[in-house]
Order: sequence, then structure tokens, then C-alpha cells
Amino acid sequence: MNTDITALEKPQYPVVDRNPPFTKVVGNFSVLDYLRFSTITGVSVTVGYLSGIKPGIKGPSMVTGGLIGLMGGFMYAYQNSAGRLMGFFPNEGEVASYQKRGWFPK
Amino acid sequence: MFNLFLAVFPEIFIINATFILLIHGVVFSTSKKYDYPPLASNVGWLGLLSVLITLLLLAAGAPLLTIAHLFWNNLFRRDNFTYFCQIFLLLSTAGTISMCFDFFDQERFDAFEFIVLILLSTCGMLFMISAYDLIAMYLAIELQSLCFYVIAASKRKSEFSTEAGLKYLILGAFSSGILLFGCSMIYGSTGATHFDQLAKILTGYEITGARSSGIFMGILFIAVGFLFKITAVPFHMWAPDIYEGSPTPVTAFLSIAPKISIFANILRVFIYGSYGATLQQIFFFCSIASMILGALAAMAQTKVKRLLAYSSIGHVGYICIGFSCGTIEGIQSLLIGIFIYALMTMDAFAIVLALRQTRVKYIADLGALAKTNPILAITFSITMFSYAGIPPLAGFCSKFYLFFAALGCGAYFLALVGVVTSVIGCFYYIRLVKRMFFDTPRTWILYEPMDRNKSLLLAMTSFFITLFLLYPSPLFSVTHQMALSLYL
Repeated sequence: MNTDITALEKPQYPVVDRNPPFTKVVGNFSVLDYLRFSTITGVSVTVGYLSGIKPGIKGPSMVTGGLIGLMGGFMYAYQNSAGRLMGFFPNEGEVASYQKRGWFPK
Repeated sequence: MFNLFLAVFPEIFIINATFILLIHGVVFSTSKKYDYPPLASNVGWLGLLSVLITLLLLAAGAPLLTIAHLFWNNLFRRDNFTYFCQIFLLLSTAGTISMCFDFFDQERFDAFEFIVLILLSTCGMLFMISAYDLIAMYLAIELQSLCFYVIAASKRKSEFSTEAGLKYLILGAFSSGILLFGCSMIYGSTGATHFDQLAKILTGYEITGARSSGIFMGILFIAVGFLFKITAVPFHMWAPDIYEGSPTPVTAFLSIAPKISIFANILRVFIYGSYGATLQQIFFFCSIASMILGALAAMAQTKVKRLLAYSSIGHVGYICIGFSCGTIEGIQSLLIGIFIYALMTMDAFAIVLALRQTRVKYIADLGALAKTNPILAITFSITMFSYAGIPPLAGFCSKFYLFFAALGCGAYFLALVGVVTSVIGCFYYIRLVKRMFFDTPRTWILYEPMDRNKSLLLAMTSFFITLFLLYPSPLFSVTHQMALSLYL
């Protein structure tokens, strides 16, 4: 398997971590990431509930929608957080936070 | 290592969502506690939600998705071309699913597996677009095709649907076999299946003599396999019967989504991997034949769906003009052509689905439409004029760029045939308009108002078709980027 992380597009922002581990990315979730996560989950639960009214399976449909939303919301938040650490998305907050810990952008 | 999976987050999400929906459907459709509910609409809405979240993951993560631009042992590639094709595919899938809800109610269609199979085939098509190896390409094509064979026969109480599914299975399997045989001949002659390696071996390679006959036959068989799947003449025979026999939402999906993914595959394999005079001649011939047959055969049709099937064959001929050129302008015009064709087809099938409520099957049944539902008649007329290539609609723009690209590369005969067949095609498109506005119907049909999903979809697509010429530059710049990323 090709394990080399070399993106076709160069990072446009300072690279905090070129290949951050899973725990670091999840730990880097910002308020906006949690908001995205909860919004997608909330919308999915609502769609599940509303679509379950007619066949009479509101509860189970809500749970299924919630599962889909949880997974999608988490993946979206993870993608944004990893993107900021890797320098693909605007990351002033991460740069300022890591500079305080003695890290400097390359 | 985990971050490499960021490149395939959209695909991972849609696969997992499909399995969740499958389990949900199996558990609750057979549940005595909930009185065995019909779950087609419920799974349909959740499926639409899944497609939209996949689109969000894809669109919002654009630069990040190229992080492992050659992933899984270099079997797949992520670049601008993959990105925009996948977005377009997901938008088409979302549009097609949104057309289905009323169909489920009207026809009392309660197979939730229909949506699950659409999602699985969408996943296959996402992989097809990013495939960078013959094996990966074939596996993705099979994942997409197998789902289509089943959904074509999904209306189990209809002999036409069963016949359509069987025909599609036999012909689709046959074309997949030819494609695989071609891939094996290429591998046998070159020892390579990866497109990068094939490009290095085949660039500037003159296909002459006995030693290159394996390569020549391989390219020929792969081209034939693809031409079967895009319903290009002379491999089109299955299309009208299958388009007519399948349930209408399936026909809509069949005429839009696979064309996007298979043309994307054709461009990857042939433009990047192995373009040459042999291939150009094959596509040149098929383009001319498709345009002529699409124009002439459609004139004899009396059923709306068969007419749209032959129209689709004709449009494939126009789109193949872009491929036959082999230039960046040709590829760009091909991509513009597919995009506009997909939107026009979505529009047309949404209207056909709306009319199916009142059992409109024949062109003659459209006689009362302008008097009973003038807005729908005007929308259908705009779509037909766009199909005919009448300015200032979007269809004119796509044909204009395709013919322009043909003239630019010296394919004057191709452009001439395209123009003549467009004029001939105007006959049957405008005949529909005449039927709606000027003919007295044999029997008056009361048209029921369509549901909100279809009306929203129709509003968006009609808006695009009508006003595209005022601001075409976003589509042009996107397609130009996609064409350039194929050559770089």
C-alpha cells in the first residue's frame, strides 16, 4: 500500500503536523467542528424522524438517521480538523496555539 | 497511516451509510411489531440524505482529498478531474432519487432495496471515476453494472421490467466480458495494467505488425466494451427496450449517471493511457453512426420513453465528437456536453414521471397538456428545444462547442454530420411541442399536479437550461481545469 502522504496540491497554510495521529486530530476539534458535527447529526435525526412518520417507524428511523448523521458529522469534523493541522485549511488558531508550545512554522 | 483514508472519506461514508440502510430496511420491513411497513420512501429520504452528506464531504474536503493522490497501491487517483466528475455524479444521483418518491406512492412500490442498490451503484461509479488501473476500473464497473441489472428488473409484477432486466444482464455481462478480454490482451502484450505504465509504453507507439496485434485487439475490445455501455451505435440495440421496460426512475438513472462515470473512464483510459489513430477512427465512426441513427430512428417512435432512448443515443454521438478530436478543447466540449445532457435528461424524465401518474405513455397522449397544464407544457417545450439545440438554450451551447472543437481539429465531416442530424432531430422534438400546443387530443386526460420534489427539481434544471447562456463561464472554467488535469 502506498503510505506516502504527498498531496497533489501543496498546503497553502503553515503545516503544524504533516501526518497527525488520530487522537491529535480529534483533540484538535474546535467549537466550529463540534457545531458542524452536531448540526449534521441533528439534521439527519430530523430527516429520519419525518420520513418515518408515514410508515409508522418514527423511533427506529430517527435512530438510523442519527447513526448516519453521527458518522457523517464526525467524518466532516475530522476532515476539517486534519485539514487545519496539515495546512490545507486556514489555521491561525492552531498556529498560535502551537507557537505558544515552542513550535514554529517551516 | 489513518490519514491516507482521508482521500476516500466520501466513498467510506457512502458504503457505510448503504449498509446501515440495508440493515434498517431488512430489520424493520420484516418487523411484525411495526406491521411490516413499506420502507421505500423512508429509505429513499435517508438515502438522499446520505448522498448529500457524501457530497458535503467531497466538496468541503477538496484539497485534503488529494493527500494520497495515488492511493491503494496506485489503483486510484485523485485530481481535479476526479473531484468535479464525482460532484457531478452525486448531484445527478440526488436529483434522480428526489424524483422517485412520488413514483413509490403511485405505483405502490415498496422495495427499499431499490435505494440501497442505487447507493451501491453510486459507490461503484465513484470508484470508476477515480480508477487508475485496468483491474480497479473493471471491478468498479462490475459493482455499478450488477446493481443496475437488478434495479432494471425491480418491478417484479411487470413482464416488461423483467424482460428489461434480463436483456440488460445478458448484454451487460457480454460487454463486460469483452472489456475484460481487452484488458487481459493489453496486460498480456505489455505486462502493465496501470494507466501511467500504459501511457509510457503506448505513447508514440505505432500499432503496426504482428507484434502489436495484441495491443491493437486489446484497445479495440476495451473500446467496444465501453461503447456497449454508453449505448453508442452499433452497440445500441439493447437501449430502447431496456429504457422502455424499466421503471421510469431507473430509466432516468440509467440515462444519466453511468454515462458520466463511463465517459470519465474512457477519458482516463484512452486520453491518458493510449490515444492514437486507431481509437480515433473507432470513435469517429461510432459518433457519426450514433448521430445518424439517433436522428432517424427517433422519428418513427410513438412512445415517449423510446423517443428519449433514441435521443440519448443521438446525444452520445454528439458527445463522442469531443472524444474523437483528442484535443483539450475536444475534451472540454465533451465534459460540457455531458453536464448539459445530464441536466436536460433529468428535466425530461422528471416531466415524464409527472405525466406517468395519468398513464401517459404515447406521444399522442400529450395532446391536452398545453390546455390543462400550460406551465408543464412550456417546461417540456423548453427541454425539447434545448435537446434540439435551438439557441439561446443550454443544448445549443453544448452542440456549438462540440462542433467548434471538431472544426478546430479538422474533423469537418464530423461537424457537418452533427449539424445535419441536429436539423433532422428538430423534427421529432418539435413534433412533441406541436402535439402539446396545436393538436386536439383523442381523449382528454386530467393531469394531476406533481409533487414538490419534482417541481423543485424541474424549476432548478429549467432555470439552468434557459439561462445558462447568460453566464456560462463557471462551467467553462471548471471543465477546462478538468481537461487540463487529464493531460498533466
